[in-house]
Amino acid sequence: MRNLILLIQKYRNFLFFLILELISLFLLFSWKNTYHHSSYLNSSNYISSSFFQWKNNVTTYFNLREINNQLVHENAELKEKLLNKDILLGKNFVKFGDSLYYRTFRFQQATIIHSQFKFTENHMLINKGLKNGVGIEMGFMGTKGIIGRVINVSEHYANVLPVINSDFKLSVIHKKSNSWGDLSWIRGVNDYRTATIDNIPIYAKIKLNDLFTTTGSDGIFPSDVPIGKVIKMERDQEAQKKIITIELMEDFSNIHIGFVVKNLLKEEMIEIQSNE
Amino acid sequence: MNNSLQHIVWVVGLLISQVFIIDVVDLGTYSSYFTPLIFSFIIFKRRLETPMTELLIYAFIMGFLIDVFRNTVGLNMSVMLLITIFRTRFLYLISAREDFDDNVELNLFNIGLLRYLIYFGTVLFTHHFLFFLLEQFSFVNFFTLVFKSLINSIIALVLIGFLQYMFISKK
Repeated sequence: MRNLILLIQKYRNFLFFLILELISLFLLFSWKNTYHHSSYLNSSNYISSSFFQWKNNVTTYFNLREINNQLVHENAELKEKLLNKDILLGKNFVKFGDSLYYRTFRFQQATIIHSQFKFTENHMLINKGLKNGVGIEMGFMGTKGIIGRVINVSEHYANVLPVINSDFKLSVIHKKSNSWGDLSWIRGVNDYRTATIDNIPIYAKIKLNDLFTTTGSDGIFPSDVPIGKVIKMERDQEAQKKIITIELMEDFSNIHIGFVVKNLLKEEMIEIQSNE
Repeated sequence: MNNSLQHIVWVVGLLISQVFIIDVVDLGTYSSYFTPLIFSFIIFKRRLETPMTELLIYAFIMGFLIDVFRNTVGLNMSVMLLITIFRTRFLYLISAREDFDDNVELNLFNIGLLRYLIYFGTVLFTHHFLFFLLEQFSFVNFFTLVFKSLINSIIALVLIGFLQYMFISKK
């Protein structure tokens, strides 16, 4: 017994180190593996998010010109779509409260108060939370394309997992050929402007600068939201598939505003999927 | 008391400069080569006579704070603890035990430029290397990783030297 105590005394620093190291490694791997993370050990907690809010209050003024430009561009694009639609349909055909036009998605404006783009695990913090109706697994869109999905919510803030994080996965569709693929971001291969699309069948005709959009099948995003344009293609003869590198629509080093997408029919969707 | 207050001020100062200044610098495509980790200075500058337990607690807290702000819980904590326990070994690898006094803070002015470069260069490189390795958690692009840690540790060396010129009074 005495020897044991002496042994512990001799190696007490190392033992203390081991305990702390085990705690941190446990946190690291449990954090990486669980889908729903514990909600206090991240930047959406009260203290760190107020720091980021404070930082944002200081720096946001310098970005106003850029934000303004983004909004004006988006406005012009939306106006073009909306007015063309009116001509196509003719105003007389759409009735108010028509069940054909049931409203599926709600958009909640949010400011990005902190975003990372140069690490291998990038995250984002937005200033809307539970009180604004933001929940886990909602989508987050920018003015040009998708940004990510919400993984963590506190009272007033939420954490967004952006496309430029290796945990982000989404099925995407090639507009012209209607072929489906899987979007992912590979660390070490992609930087903050690019992403990789896998599992595109080899016979699909894809050209440079073709647009990839969301499918809408996951219930997180509406369909036809732009994601990125093709900049590189590789053929994998063995697996009979194409691996495509796209340039993302959003410039992740320079985004300040976005919209949380809430799917009003998501529960119905999940219910019918679980019945299968 | 005064001393530990000073350490807490350093913790807060390093945390703020790491998270709010260095992490938000945008250098376009080369951004991933500008991610120096300067907060480990809180451990490296401590006296050699400081009890290991205290150092480990400081490393644990500092890593935890950085992790919370960066959304990487556990990553910086584990790397900080590792470099804390190996710090003195590195020191004695590169120089004789008598070269360093036990009761001085290890900074640019106390240990001289050459030894500063060697000691801080080694420990900072180890820190960056371990951090990037654990962050990536695989050996793909190994040489890019080594190159990245080298560049970043040189930047960190310069930044920490700059911090010392600003905030540590010369004797």
